[in-house]
Amino acid sequence: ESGTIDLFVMLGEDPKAVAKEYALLTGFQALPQEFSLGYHQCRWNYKDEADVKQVDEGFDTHDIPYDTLWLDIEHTDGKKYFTWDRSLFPNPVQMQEGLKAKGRKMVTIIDPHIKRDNGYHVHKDAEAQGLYVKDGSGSKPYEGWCWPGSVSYLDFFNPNTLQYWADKFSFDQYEGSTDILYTWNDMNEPSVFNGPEVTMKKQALHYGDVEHRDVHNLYGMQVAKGTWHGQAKRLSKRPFVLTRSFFAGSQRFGAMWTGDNKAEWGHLRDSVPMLLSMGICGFPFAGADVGGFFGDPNQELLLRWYQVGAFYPFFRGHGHIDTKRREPWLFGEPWTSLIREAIRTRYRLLPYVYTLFYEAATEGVPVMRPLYFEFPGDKTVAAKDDEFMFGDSVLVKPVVEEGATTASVYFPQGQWYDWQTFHKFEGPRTATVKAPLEKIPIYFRGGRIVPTKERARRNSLVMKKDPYTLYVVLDAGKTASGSIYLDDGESMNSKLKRVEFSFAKMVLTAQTVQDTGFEVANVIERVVIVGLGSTEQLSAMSAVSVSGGQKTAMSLVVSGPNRDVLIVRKPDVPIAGEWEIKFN
Amino acid sequence: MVCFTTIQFLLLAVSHCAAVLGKEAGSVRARGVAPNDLALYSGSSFKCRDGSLEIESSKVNDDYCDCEDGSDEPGTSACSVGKFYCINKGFESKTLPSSRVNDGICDCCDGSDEWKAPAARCEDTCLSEAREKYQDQINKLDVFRRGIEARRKLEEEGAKVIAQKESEKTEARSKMSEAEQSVAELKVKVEQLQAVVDAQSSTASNDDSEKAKAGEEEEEGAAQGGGGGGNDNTAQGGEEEQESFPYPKEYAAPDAAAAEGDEEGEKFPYPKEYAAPPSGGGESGEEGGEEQFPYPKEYAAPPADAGREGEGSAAASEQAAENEQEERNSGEDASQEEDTTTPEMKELAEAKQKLRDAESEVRSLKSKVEATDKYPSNAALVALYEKCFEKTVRQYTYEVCLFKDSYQKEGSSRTRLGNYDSYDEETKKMSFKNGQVCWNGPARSLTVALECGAETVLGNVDEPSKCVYETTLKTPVVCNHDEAKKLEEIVKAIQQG
Repeated sequence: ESGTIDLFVMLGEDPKAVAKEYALLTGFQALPQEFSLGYHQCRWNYKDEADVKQVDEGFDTHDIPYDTLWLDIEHTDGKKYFTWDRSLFPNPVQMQEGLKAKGRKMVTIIDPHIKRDNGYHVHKDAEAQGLYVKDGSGSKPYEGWCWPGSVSYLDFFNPNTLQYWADKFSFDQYEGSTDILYTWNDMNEPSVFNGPEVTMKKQALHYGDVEHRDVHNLYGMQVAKGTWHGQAKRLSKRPFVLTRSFFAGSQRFGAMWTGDNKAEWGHLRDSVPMLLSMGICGFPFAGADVGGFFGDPNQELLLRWYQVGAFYPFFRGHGHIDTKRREPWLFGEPWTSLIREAIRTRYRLLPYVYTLFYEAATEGVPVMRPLYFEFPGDKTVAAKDDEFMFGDSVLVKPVVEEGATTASVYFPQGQWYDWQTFHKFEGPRTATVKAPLEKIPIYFRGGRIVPTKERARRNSLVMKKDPYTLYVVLDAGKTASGSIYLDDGESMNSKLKRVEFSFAKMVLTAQTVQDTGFEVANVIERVVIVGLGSTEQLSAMSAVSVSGGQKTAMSLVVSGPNRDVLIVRKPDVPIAGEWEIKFN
Repeated sequence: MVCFTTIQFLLLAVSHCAAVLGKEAGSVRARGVAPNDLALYSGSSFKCRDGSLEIESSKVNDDYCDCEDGSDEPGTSACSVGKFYCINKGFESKTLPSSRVNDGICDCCDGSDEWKAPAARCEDTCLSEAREKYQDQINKLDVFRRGIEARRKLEEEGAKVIAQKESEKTEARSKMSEAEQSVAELKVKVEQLQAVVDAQSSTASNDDSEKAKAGEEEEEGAAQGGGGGGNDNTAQGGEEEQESFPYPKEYAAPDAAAAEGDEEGEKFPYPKEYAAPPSGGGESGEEGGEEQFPYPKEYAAPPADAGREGEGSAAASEQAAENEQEERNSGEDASQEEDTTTPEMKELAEAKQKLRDAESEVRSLKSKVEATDKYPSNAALVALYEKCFEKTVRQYTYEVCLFKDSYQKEGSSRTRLGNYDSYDEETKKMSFKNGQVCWNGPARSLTVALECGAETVLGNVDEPSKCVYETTLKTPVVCNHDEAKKLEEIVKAIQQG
């Protein structure tokens, strides 16, 4: 109903080329901090400091990794953002230090509606400095109704508001915040409970007398942008901002989630096409609430949701204040162990996930990809959205049916290997695979090399020094390639290294292709070679590593349930170096 | 104060201990191994503890996971299912998941899980933790001793109560058959008189008196169900039904299944304003195409805007409904006007009155006979039967009456958290269920965990999920000798190192 439509037509020879053009136009996914790719535990609401401590300890007691604990609106004093309800959170700094001591982070919610309370500094400043969106008359602030009751909305199109907002995040202004505290922007559509279509009226006036109707879709992005700049100003680390409202370009300012879903199988199923859409719309860092926001998931739904959520680019469990508690260990066995496995799967894959995000940040490609992205020539996958590629090397089949014990998987052209049994599927074909509760149907793609870290840890930060495992999954020609992106995982302008791995002619080669001086001492503790030969062939093999002119005999183990996987035991070659392992 | 000398003793014992264990813990292979398992790790080869594989002993704790069960790497983080044993000399040993080994965070009080880090990284805190624990155990033991003493007194009180009730029971039993006999006789008499009166009125063919009769029967039924002592099964069933649907029963669905359905807002076959919970902004959603407001009512939009019902009115109507329910529960009594226009009618009315009196006598006797059935087997707990305890947490005062009910009070408003449902002697947990229904939530409920204390005090009340409350009650009632003995042994063990 307003303005003109700008139509951009992007031409490219394949989906990846088009994705890059779109990113060049609207911006690339901001490279996240590594911690934010781990698991996030949220609830409306963790009630007080004792509750936070108890939940944090629960993860350790049950040896389940997680990186970030979230606080929803109830942590504030009367829904006045940037404040704490001191009766519940008397020592927020101490609380955060407790999390930090274990390598964890915290996120608090900060919404753009401001309580009209004369004792609230943000409201007073906004009134005095004219930072609010104006009513249609242009003379007084627009007023609406949201969590705190009567509120006004900061005008994020006003450069002064953006500046003001960014300053609010500084450590001296946001009391009780520390350097592990990050931000969640909700209700930034903006949500107005008593407004038309639960949002702001179209005549409300923004900076430059622009009517809300003209900028409605941009408002949410501006909020996240202001928050992003606020965090960037106070810390030299990459910001982390989660937003509900977004627009073309919001990917420059963090992550989004799909909003208030329900604890129903249909909502689990639909999360997959929704997030695939986000990926092809250039906003890869997206997730849906694991478990479903409204309602109580039963154990099976919760488990299956974790199993799928482990492959959401943004992986967070969240639930409504009226729902029953559902922290991963509350349902007893076998559920606790199975959910632990699902979350650990995410952590094992973190080096790969981080590399995918680097690709997203530089090439504009999604992390979670529809099959057609990788197989544009295969017409049968054009509309397929009940399975997806996680990067270019892993095929994921979400199990989203209650009581399912099998799943039907379409394998595109090529060789595919079950990631646990290494059972081979030759595509293209559709196969029915076993999918009991404990099984996440995930497949490595032949011809790819995937870096992982197999050791269990309590979060991504304490995994830093752990050694790597390389899965070398061969194609029909017994070749494979892959890469890893390495940096400090947090700084805005970190030094980096990029290493490419390839396997051809019985030689595994590592080559550093980009190096700005990032120092990394981690080694590879295990190379798993899949698709190399039969048990007999593998048993007869030997290998040497060649690194810096030095040759070392490798210890080989024939492994896997079918004894058709060759493991190089402790090659101890550097993850970032130039070396070869030759097989005979 | 008293224990000062024992702490000194403890310190000596600890250093002795350290010398013995130090030798064994030296080698790499033994790192993270529990003392009892050391033999398994001392051979020239090592067999995975699940028997799946045998490896050279040089591969034990070589920072690579060979055994599927993780048993070859007790001292490293290489196996994700591995276990690390901290000796924690001077304090309790501990088994950790291998994910804690060398992750930069001190988990063992002796710091042994961070063996790669410089020694300064993790200070040895075992001694101070031992001291703390020792003091803690001493304090606990003291509480137990005082608690057991107090419990004895409560048991005596409880025994007296039981004895009193038992003698009432015997007496009531002896009167029972006579009372039942007189009810039976009166019933016959009433029937006969009724027949006479009916014959008289059938000639008059009076609709009103028919109605009166129907009403009367219903009234009697209700009196029998809900009016008496409230402890027989029919009475409880009746109460529960009333509570699950907090509105006059004429609005309730015709059968139980439909009544349950109404919570989901689908099957309830009556105008929606009668369905629980009272509608806020949301109810319009189903018909109007607007989304239901799925958040707690305090966040609903204000009145008089955008066609929504206001927060204020929603809250008020809910409160009204709750009050109404409370009123209804407390007073349900209606005396029946009898028609006494003829002598027979008068006689009938008198006979009916006598029958009611006799029936009430039977009920009262019955409740005396059954009075002790409802008592817990723990005599000390009988002394606290229906006793109430309070705790103030922020703006709320919580009141818990054991075996009866529980409330959350704020100013003059009282919200029932639940009626007594059960007490589990095993877990020592008392549950209160079917409290007032929350907006968008379940019926409130409360679980009280009884723990040993020198006196009976209600602890902090927690609400881990919406309208699901938890608290503890420190009380001598559950202090027992076995646990006290265990504590004594722990204290003794600490004293002896």
